[in-house]
Amino acid sequence: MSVPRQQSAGPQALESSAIAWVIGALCMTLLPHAPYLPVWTLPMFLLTSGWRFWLAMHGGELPSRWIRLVLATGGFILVYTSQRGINGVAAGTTLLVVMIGLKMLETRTRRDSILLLVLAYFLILASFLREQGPVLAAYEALATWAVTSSLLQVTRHGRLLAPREALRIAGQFMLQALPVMLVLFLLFPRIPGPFWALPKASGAGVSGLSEEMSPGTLAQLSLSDEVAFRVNFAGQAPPTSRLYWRGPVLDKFDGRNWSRSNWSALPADMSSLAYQGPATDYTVSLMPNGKPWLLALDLPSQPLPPNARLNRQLQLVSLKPVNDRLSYTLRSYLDYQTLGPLSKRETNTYTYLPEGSNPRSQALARQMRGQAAGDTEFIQAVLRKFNQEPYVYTLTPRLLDMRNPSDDFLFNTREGFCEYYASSFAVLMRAAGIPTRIVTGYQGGEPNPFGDYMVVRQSSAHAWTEVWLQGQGWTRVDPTAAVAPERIELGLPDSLRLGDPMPGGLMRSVAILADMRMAWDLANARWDEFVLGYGPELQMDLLSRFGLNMPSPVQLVLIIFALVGAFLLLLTLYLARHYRPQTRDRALALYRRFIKKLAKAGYDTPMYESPKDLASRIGRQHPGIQGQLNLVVDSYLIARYRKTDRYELALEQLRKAVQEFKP
Amino acid sequence: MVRVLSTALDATRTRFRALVAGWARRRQGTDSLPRTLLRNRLYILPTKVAMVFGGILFVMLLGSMNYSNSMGLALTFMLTSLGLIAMHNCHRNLLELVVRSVSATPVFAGNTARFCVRIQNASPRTRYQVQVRIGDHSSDVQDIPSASTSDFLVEVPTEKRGVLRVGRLSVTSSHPFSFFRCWTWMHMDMQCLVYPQPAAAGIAPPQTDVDVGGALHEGPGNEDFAGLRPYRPGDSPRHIAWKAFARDNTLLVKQFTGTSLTTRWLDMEHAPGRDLEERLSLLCRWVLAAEAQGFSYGLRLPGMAVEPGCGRAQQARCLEALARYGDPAGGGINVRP
Repeated sequence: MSVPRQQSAGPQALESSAIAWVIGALCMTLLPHAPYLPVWTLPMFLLTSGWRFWLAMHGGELPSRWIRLVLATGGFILVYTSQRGINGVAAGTTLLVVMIGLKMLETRTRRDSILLLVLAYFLILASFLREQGPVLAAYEALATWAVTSSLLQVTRHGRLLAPREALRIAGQFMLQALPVMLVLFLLFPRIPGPFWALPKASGAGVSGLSEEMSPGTLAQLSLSDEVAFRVNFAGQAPPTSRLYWRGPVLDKFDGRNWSRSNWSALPADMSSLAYQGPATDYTVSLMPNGKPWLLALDLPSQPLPPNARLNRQLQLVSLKPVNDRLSYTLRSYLDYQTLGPLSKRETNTYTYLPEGSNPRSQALARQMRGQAAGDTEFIQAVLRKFNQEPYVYTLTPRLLDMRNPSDDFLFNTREGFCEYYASSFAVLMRAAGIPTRIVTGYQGGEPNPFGDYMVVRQSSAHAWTEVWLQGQGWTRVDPTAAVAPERIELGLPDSLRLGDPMPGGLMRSVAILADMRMAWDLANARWDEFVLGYGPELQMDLLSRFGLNMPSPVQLVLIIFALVGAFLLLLTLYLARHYRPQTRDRALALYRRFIKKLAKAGYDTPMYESPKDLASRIGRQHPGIQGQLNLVVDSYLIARYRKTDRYELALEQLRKAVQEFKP
Repeated sequence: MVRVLSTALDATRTRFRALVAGWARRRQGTDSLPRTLLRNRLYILPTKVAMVFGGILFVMLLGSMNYSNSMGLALTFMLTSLGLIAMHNCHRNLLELVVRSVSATPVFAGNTARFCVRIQNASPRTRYQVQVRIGDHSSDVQDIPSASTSDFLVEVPTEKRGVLRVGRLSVTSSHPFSFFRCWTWMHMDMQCLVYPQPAAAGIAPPQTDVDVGGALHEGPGNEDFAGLRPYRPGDSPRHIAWKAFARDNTLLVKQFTGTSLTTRWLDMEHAPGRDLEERLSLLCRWVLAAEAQGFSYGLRLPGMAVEPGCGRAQQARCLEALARYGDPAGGGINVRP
């Protein structure tokens, strides 16, 4: 009488197929980390998980506690030494991956694999700390799907679902979860962080302007196709040649490199600024640059964005480094004048040249200044020299002799990029005693034909000079314009000579690709603006459109509850439809409706009674509706049981009869 | 110290469970079959997995807010929402299942009683990971495909003969993700007859009790046809008068008389044993032996008797009489929430 109990796989045991699901999900979440991890990490993970899978297939014993302990310690030391600590995103991720790999070796039970999958979710989160572009987001959505399917599988008792079914069910859940996620994303009270210090590494790897400039700095940057910022002009955009985006001002020269002096720490004297001409209003959406610099059209005026100020050198700076996308609105005047004299100390700074550096340049400057009638004429003469002598504008110049780079450039190589010209020009000016500084920033921008905005890429990085002239104050002089006016008129790509490397190479030369590139940039811009840039400001903006002005967090939470509750109610109704037992037979469904009508009108409709019996019984009692009853029942019987070619006809008749039936 | 604490905790838990069980019992009353699982009798609570998951979501939320990381927040909210959806679907997964029947075939004491719970899924969706529990005992976890019925076997070990009574069973599922456990309790009197454990073969029933021919000469046998009588459950289908059935639509059984049929009375008076249970065990063995040898047999217990007969039905009647004798409880089952 006793039959041995059917042996289901123990309640906690893991099959090899469950392990395979876990490994698959982990691999998917690891992939985006691969380029950033030390090279040995991934092979190690694959080795341990392969080992674990092999054990699951062949039923071997898991490695002993001692082996695991040794491996774990070794792994930790390896991470600690290779990453110089365990702080920061990179080191943290590496440690996580190593520990996941080792955890594979002691994954025995369902609970262990649940833990691994939760860590997989963590890996997805970690990848977003590095980048949040739409492509990665789409990939990670897929990865989330995979991990969720995997979680569905390993939490099952007994046999796993077929892979397709697991994916289907998990996919359905994710779709159902989407509305609630959106509600939370849009309405969950956004508290501006950070609550604790951000690891330094998060700002690493962003490219942009730097505090220093030596020949070659900008040329390198110019090859990058990355977006520096995007601009939305409130009105007509000014012509490209007038778009000088002002960045760090470099005024300290050591003979080779330009860097920032202490003047940059002082605030601007706003009373010395005379704005002229029409104003230009625009909104900049700045990509993180890791520096406290805001790019602004030369020259921004009051009111400045919060947490921003103009420094003494008229650079717009923020109080904190820009580690996240930042959006700010500005009003600039393309024409302005600085009033008032330079102080003695300022003049000293701006005319300083190291003793004996670039002697030939200095001699040339003195000679040319002697021949010129005044400072302005001298400047014209130098620009003419650049323009008429065989100076060449190129991204790939010959290397300069770094002892006297300016001499080497002016008299020898005569080819270079904007910083070569700006630097040599500044040396000449200073040698002639004219206060001069170098301004770095961006020049120009590409209007996006699809969206009403302009993209400024790193490739638009530029350097120009400002000279201080008696009676005019600081005056912009762009020596590059003298050599390659098309650089300023048309932007960089169209100004390069054949054979120069070009940012975005092929993309620009084929029209359709160029269009696609612009459309893609538009998508990126919208993504940055509305998805990634969605924060407290946009949230309040959105809510105010619905008539909610500055709701408190409590109110927000209440709204969330209401919306989520409403959605769950809808979901309940939706699921109720999908779970409702189906009556495939349409005739039967109609007949049931008829019975329901009868019952509602108070007639007795016992289940055992056949349609004919029912019709004749009720018909006898209530002769008034006998005709209707017979019509319904007859057409029902034909439609249901005499399935001939007249089926549709009978069904139609039945539908009409039931519809018109009034007991 | 820890032990004291854990004991106290266990006691509290047990008392709490008893309280909850009592509350549910009062609330739901006694169920009848078939029973559809409706909203008012489905309970749902988060599991430990959900607690851990929730904690991790909180960490992810803090991290994402700290870095003002939109995609991190999106992921966190996706998973939060997934948890909510899991709760909803966990509940939906059991809703409107129909418990059609609970049955248990009698077993001998010491063997495993198997309660067969038949659950119907009329909906066009599969119901995943359903399990039936009785006390500490649970069935295998099964998926019930759409528009079909599955049997869940709950095996309960037996020790004593008698009637094994179960007051409550639960139908439960933690699909999906094991984040939530949804269950229902059904209260009804479910029984399994537990026959006495048959004593080892060896002691034969006393021969004095054997009636050969004599008074029962006219009694039913299977040698010579002696007429028809109405059908009684347990009669062999071979003896049914099928022709008569075809004619009159009534089931009749052909009766035979025969001298070779031996009738035995198995009497408790003659069963040796130290106590009642041992004697019942012995009687049980005798019943089985008599049936196996094809005897006609009857059973006499103090205060009652099973009239002689043969066949499976007779054996079942006798064994039931033995099981129910004195109506003892058939071993308790811990019913836990």
